[in-house]
Amino acid sequence: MLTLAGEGVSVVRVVSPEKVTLRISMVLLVLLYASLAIFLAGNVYRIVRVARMPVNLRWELYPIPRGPREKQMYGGSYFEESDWWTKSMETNRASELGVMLQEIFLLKGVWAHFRKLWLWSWLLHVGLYALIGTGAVGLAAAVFGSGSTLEMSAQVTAWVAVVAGLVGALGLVAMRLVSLRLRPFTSRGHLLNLGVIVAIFATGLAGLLLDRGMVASMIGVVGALAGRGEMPVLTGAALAHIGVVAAFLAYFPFTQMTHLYMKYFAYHEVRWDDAPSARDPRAGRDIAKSLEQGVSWAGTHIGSDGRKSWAEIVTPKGSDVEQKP
Amino acid sequence: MGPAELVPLPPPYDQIEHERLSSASGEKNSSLADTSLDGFSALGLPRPATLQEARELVERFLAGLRKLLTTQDNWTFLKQLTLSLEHCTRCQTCIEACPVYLSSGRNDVYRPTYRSEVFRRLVRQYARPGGQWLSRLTGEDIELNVDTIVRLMELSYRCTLCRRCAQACPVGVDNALLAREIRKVFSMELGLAPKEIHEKGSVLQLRVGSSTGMNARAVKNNVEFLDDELYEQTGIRIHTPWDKEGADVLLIHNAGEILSWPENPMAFALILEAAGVSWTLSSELTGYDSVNYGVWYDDAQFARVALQQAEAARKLKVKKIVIGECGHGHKASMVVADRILTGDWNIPRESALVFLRDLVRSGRLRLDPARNAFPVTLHDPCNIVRMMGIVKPQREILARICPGFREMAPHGVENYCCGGGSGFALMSSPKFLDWRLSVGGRMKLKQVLEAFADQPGPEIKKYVCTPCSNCKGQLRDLFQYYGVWERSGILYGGLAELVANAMTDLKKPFIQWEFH
Repeated sequence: MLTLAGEGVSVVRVVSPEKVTLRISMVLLVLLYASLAIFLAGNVYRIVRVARMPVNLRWELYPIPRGPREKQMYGGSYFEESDWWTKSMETNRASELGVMLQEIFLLKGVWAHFRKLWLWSWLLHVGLYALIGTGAVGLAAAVFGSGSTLEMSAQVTAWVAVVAGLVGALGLVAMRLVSLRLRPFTSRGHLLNLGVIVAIFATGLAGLLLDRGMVASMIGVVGALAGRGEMPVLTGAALAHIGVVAAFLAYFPFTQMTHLYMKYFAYHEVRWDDAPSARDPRAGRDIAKSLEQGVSWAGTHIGSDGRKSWAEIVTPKGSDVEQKP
Repeated sequence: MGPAELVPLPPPYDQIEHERLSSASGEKNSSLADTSLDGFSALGLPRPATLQEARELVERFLAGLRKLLTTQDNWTFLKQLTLSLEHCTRCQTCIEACPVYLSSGRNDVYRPTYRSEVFRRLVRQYARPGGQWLSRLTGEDIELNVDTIVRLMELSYRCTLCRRCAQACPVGVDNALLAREIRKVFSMELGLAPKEIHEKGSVLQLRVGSSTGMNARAVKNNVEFLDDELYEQTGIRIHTPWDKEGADVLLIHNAGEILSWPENPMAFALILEAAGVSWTLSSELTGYDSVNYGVWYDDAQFARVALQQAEAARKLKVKKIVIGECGHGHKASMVVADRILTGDWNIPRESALVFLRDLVRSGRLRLDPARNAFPVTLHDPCNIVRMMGIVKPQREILARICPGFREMAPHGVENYCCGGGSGFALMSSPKFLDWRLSVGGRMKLKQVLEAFADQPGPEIKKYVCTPCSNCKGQLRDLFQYYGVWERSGILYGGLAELVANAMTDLKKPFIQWEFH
């Protein structure tokens, strides 16, 4: 470090490039750790919040991928059997998984019901999965050492991510602006979501085009985050890419994009949850607790005085409240 | 919305397009009811008369909105509500699944996503922390005033809760559930619900035993009259058993059948007696009426009716309850109420369609399919099929006894709602009837006509098997509105009637071919 100082002379500090790089590295690490912390905390909060909600009343919807394959084909259920409560019930995790995988990786529902949207939506999802894949390969490289195979894999997934993701995201932006089916129901918020995703893939593409060491740099960043090695020196494109990714990670848990994992609850605990209560003693216990809670609905027919519980209000004895509108 | 915008019907119905729709809209505007949403009114509620009333409406709505998001007041559906509120990507994938939206000629107001979006924005802006600035930031802010509230309430009654949209959603969002949750806010907090399903529905049922207004004595008298009618018609004397303790089967009809379609309970009586089943009806409060309107709009009313019905069965110590041909009664009792029917109240419940299938299969009935040698198609009640997965039993019966059976397209779990779902079939105010029949039931009518396209004239009598009382009510009104019986010779009726019609024990055909 060179410092010039003296009487009557203003102090000029010339900071070496190494120090600048070090400071940027520190800032980047802090930024990434912070965004990862928000990402993790936000997502865990959302999952725990729903998982801890009281057992709900049943609200299933057919077809449900359980039971004999023949029934699954046309959407039949155990209710079709005479004296169904005396029969054994098949669960079929493989079928459930199969349906979920088709939905997650092929977007089967969109294909069936909104074909024009499917290609762009599917490309976007492929891009995001490939981006996650690149991160995973980067982590593996950081942990096990960056061999040529891993680096090559990361190169492939990174290119798939940016090309598919960018085309898909831009296609979706265009659809949202042009399609009469989407445009009236598109807000600034939706465009902001897509804008952040476009920025991720655009900066990624710029990095790959302008910086031959982009993938190696990203592996280095993941390694630094994992405590394996120092933060590499990054180009502007790489820095921009990391900045956008960090912003996206911190932003993600507060958006509807959490449907990525929350659909587990929507499918398994609502749409496909046809378990009869007689075979689910835990549900019975939980419901009994819920029935002990007070009711504060103000409709006169509810008959709530602020102290009465659900049980008191709805059971035949308690429902003697005068039935008037 | 004018007739020209609606999805076209096959000839001759494409020429009959209703002047009634346009003229009725004119009448509606002169009434006090707020029709600002689409020219119609399901609830017939007038706008608040004073500023004070308007303020109170907004405050009470907000209070209800907040209660809906708590475990204390909405443990019943909080999980489903949260998942549907927070994860919709607004991809509009679901909209083409909605029969109301399609019927209307794709009117944006009837998108399943439209009411959900209004509701979602209200929740976020007025019931979540930081909602005000976040909503402005994302451009999703919405003004909360009397107009918004009244229109949202009306919008919640433009969805039949058929859940076809939920089936199409890739992330598991259920817009029909959101419509029901909106109805709950209005009913459970503000005491606002259509008279036909609340005051004259669940309230009446809990007070006298049935939403038809029949008390125990009246229902017994009416059924006795049906026994006599059956004797006159068939020469077979049946004394319908009442309150027989320890019977194998407690049959619970939709009591509306006894008054409006008596041939259905008569057919059941014939079949059960011929098959030698140990059965009974109950004269306990609600024990003779399977309806449970609360399942459409109010959790407290729903639970009260469900528990009362279970209590009736418990007292009789029956082996099982068989739910008659009533779609929402099936779902309410066998699915939605399942987790609150604990202990002695958890009496096994079975569908009449399955029970009838078993009797037909058993060989205990002498049946001749040649007696049903007329074209038959099948309407799938959403509650029994899409929401319970009971698809095959009714088809197995029809395959055995109706040689002219043909499917509608689409059918099974992908069927279209009749347009009378979620209480609409009961809501017949002049301000709503035109909408229910020309928009709500349009896709179903189109399907029915297309199913019989090879024999369109009235000279060949045709039958739409409709194993649900509410769906029958809707088809009755729909067929009357369009003159379907006169123009096409299409009759609707239950499944049990077809079984009875095929019984060789009867000298004359059971089905009378009279439109009512």
